[in-house]
Amino acid sequence: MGEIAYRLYVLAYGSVVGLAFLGDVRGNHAAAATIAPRTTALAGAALVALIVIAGSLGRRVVALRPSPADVQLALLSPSPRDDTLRSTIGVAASVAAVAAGVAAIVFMFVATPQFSGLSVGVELAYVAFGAAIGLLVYALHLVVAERRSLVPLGLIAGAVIVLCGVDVLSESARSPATLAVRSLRCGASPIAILATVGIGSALLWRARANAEDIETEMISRGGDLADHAAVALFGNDVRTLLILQRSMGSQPWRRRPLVHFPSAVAQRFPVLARTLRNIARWRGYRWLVMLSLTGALCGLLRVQPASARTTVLSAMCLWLLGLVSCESIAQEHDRADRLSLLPMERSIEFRQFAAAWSIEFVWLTAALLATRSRASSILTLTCLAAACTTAATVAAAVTFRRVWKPVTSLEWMASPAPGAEIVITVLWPALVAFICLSGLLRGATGALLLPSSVLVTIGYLLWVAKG
Amino acid sequence: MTTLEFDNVTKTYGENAAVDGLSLEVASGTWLVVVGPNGSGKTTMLRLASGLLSPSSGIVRVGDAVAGSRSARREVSYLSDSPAFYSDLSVAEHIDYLAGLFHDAAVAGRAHEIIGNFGLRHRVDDAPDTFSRGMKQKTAIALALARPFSILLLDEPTRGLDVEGTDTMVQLLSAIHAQGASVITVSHEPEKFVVDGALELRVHDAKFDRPQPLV
Repeated sequence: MGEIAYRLYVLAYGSVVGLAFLGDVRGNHAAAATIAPRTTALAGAALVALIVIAGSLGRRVVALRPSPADVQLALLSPSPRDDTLRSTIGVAASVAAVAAGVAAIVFMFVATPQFSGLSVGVELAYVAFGAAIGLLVYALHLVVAERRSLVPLGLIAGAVIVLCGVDVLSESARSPATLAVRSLRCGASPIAILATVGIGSALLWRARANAEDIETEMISRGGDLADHAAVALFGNDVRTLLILQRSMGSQPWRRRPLVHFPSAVAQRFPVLARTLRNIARWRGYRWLVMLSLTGALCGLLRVQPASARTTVLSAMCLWLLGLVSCESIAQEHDRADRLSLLPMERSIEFRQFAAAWSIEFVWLTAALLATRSRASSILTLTCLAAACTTAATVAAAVTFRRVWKPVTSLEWMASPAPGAEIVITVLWPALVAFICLSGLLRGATGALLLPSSVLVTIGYLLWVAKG
Repeated sequence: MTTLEFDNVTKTYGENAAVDGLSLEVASGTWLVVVGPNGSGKTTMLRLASGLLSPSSGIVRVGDAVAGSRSARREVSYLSDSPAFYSDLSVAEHIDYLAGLFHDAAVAGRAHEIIGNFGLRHRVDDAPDTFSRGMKQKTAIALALARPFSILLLDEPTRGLDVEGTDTMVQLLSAIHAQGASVITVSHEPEKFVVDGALELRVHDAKFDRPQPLV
């Protein structure tokens, strides 16, 4: 029962945030007028990113994830592999098509203000066309998955996405991706849909026929990680999902850190140095993602400062930032037996808050400066955002404390508690960030500090009680 | 030095007992090899001694302290059968972290020395997560032996080690034992741990025999 409740909670949370955001855009004519002309370029960038991600994941065959038993018994047996993989491919292709169909209708809804006034037939045509494109992208992903080496698409894709960014800023259409999406918007004809479905089906058939050449080790590892990700999404927490996502992408840490901390310093301040060494090994793309996420958050706050629904979205962004910043604590949480065996107080990692939130503060400050706001606004927003982020980070860390049971950690890891407890622990940091941001958006400093202080105090007491 | 005592300890998982009524006193300076078939309760016994698991009934004491308490953890070093490392720290950074947590620079010196004994000095700037199984095991042994302790718990320490690595490890353990520490190891290869005064503890289906001299 608790598991079902949690799944419903995740679904409802995501749906409410998505609908609230769409409603904001549609209901705010100024925002709609700002966003609509840029949607084509944004969608172009998203499509290019999707194709690159699909290709990159394809090397690890994540989208083909038979069970470990299938891999060890069926795929290693002399029976034809395409028989074993037929249902897997069918299910995955269907999911891709449905998701792309939904994405297409959402895209048209946002991009075309008069879209909801069109006939049902036109809307269905866009859904069908989106689904056909989803099928095509999945089929391409499978075909790429068969290859031993992938053409280095990253640089090309990066250049195209930068051009899309220029298109967004200048409301023009120069990027190939923007032009492609613009042509797709006009191309939802029956012939185009049938042609896309035909090409996608042919590629799927080819991928299935070549299943004999797929590397089973990769299938097995990809399948395991995808299963763990599913567990993390529905049975655990978003922080675990982030870490698994990094593992699934095989995105290693930077081999040499950006900054080298001398041993004497690291031994004098072990906890602080441990956190900073984590940050120093982030790869460049991750810095960019963090900056982009923070920049988007700041932009959102500036465009729609009075919207409570936007606040929910902002709270989620802050929460994610808090979780990522607490990652070194998260590693302790994942293998609690490492520190819990050492003869020191078991709250030692809690001190990492200071380093974690200060790092976040740097992100927010940089993003705020990048928005070229007035000096007074920068100061106000920086101070308030720092307070919010601190609260979100502390709340995220309290989440770890709340579910972390050091002495019997192995027993706990063997049977993670689903249901109400997890719902509360996952909801808690978002709630803190939400209340803080509500105060921020109303411009009332007192309204910001009071609820956050109360909630952080409650979290601290919970932590003490657990300790 | 410190004794390790199991006082009528039982550990159950559901209806299955992993350790059933174990009463045992391990005097300081003991060299004890725990042997038995898979699933008989060897690893559970070590985890109870380290404090990772709590007994379903009975009590485990390290000296006068309950296993898992802070003062007990000060005396016990535990090498897991599946070593875990931070994915974002190099070997040298692991050593710095450990030394920092113990506020003892000598820990770092010992760890680097043991890493050198295992022939891994040239890899200290690499993340152990990228190592082979045997190299990970050597790194984990170095970290476990470098910290201060009086009771050393080892779960399958030879797993993945090459012949030279096994010899080096046994030499290190012998030196530590000679200084008065207790060494308790779970192994399917007891012949590799034959030293003067060594004892063997046999276990079958969660029932432990009395310790006998290891031949």
